[in-house]
Amino acid sequence: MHIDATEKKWFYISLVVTIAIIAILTFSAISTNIHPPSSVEKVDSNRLHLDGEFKEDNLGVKKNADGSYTVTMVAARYGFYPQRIEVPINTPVKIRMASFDVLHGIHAPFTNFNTMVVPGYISEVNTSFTKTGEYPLFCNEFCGLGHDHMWSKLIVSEKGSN
Amino acid sequence: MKLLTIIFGSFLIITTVQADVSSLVAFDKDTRAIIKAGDALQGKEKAASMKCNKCHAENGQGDDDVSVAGHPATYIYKQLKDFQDGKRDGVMRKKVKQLTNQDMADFSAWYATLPFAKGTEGGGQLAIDLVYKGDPKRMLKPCSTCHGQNGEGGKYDSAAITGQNKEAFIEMMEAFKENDRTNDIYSRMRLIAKVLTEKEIQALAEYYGAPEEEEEE
Repeated sequence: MHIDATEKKWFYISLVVTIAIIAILTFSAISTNIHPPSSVEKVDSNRLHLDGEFKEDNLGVKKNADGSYTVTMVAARYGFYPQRIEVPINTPVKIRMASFDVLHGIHAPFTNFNTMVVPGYISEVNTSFTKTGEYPLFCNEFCGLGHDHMWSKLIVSEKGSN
Repeated sequence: MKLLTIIFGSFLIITTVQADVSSLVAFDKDTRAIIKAGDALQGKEKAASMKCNKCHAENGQGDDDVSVAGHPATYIYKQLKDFQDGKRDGVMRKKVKQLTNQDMADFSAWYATLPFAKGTEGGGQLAIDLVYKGDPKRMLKPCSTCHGQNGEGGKYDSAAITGQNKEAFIEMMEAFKENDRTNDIYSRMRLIAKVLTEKEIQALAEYYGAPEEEEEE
C-alpha cells in the first residue's frame, strides 16, 4: 500500500503528540496524586423520591450546627429542584445532588460550583461563594430536548439576611 | 392484643411516612416489567366490562371528559396507580379500588394504542411561544420539551397533551396551580402551572384542545 511521504510524516507527528499527551497526563496524575473519588455513594435513581435523603420533603437548604450549610438538590429533566436556593456569602456550603433520570451536569458561572450528576450516584461539592448576587445554575451535560431550558437559580446573599 | 397494637402501629407509621410522597410509583425494573406485560386486548375487554366509555368514550378521547387515548402506557399506569394509592383525587379513585397491577397494565396498554385527537393549534402567538420557547425569566420550560414536539407525550410520566378536552385541560392546569393535584414527582408540573397566567392557560387549551364537535340541530 502506497502512503504519501507527507501523510506518513503527519501520522508520526500525531502519534508522538498522542503519546506525549498520555505521558504528561499519567505523570501529572501520579506526581500530584490525582485519583478518582474513592468514597463513591450510590443511590437508586428510580426510587429517589420515595425515601431517604432525596425525598421531596428533604430537599432544600439546611443550616448545620457548626454554621455551615447543606444543600440537597435533585436534577430531573428539565430542572433542578428546588428551583431556587439561597446561601450566605463566605460560608462553607456542602451541595449534595442526585439525578432522577439521566446524566446531567450543573454549573454556576463565575463560581467553582460545577459537577456532573450521574444517575445512580450522589455528587457532592464543598465550596463557599465569595460574591453576592443571583447566579443561574445551568445543566452542562446534554440530557435531552429540553437541555438548554434546564436551569434554576442560586442566590448568594449577605450574611444574616437569610 | 400486643400483636394487634404492633400491626396497627406499623400501619400508622407507614401511612404517615408515605403521606408526604407525591406518588408511590417508581419506574424501576419491576414496574417497567409490569407495564410491559400489559395486554391491550385484555385491556379492551376490561374497559368494556367496566364501562369506561361512559366518560372516556369508545375511542378513549372522552367527548366531554378527559381524553385517555394515546398517552404513553407508563403515564396511564402511573395515574391509575396514583388514584388507587390515594395520591390523586377524583371519581376514578373509587373505580380503580379493586384493580390489580395486571388490570392497570392492561388498561394502559389498550389506551396507549388508541390515537389521540389532534389539537386545534389555536391560541395565537402566545401559545406558540409557550409551547416552543417557554419563558426563561420565569423559569418556564417550553411544553414541547417534556410533552413532545407535537404534544404526543414524553418519557414515563409525561402525558400526551394534544387533543385533550379543553375544559379538562384547563381544569387540570388549575388543579396543579392550586395544589389540588399533587401527584407530579418533585412538583415539576406544579411549578410550571403556578407561574402561568389564566390567559396563558386559556391560550394553551386553545392550542392543544381537541376540535369541538358541532352539535347537530
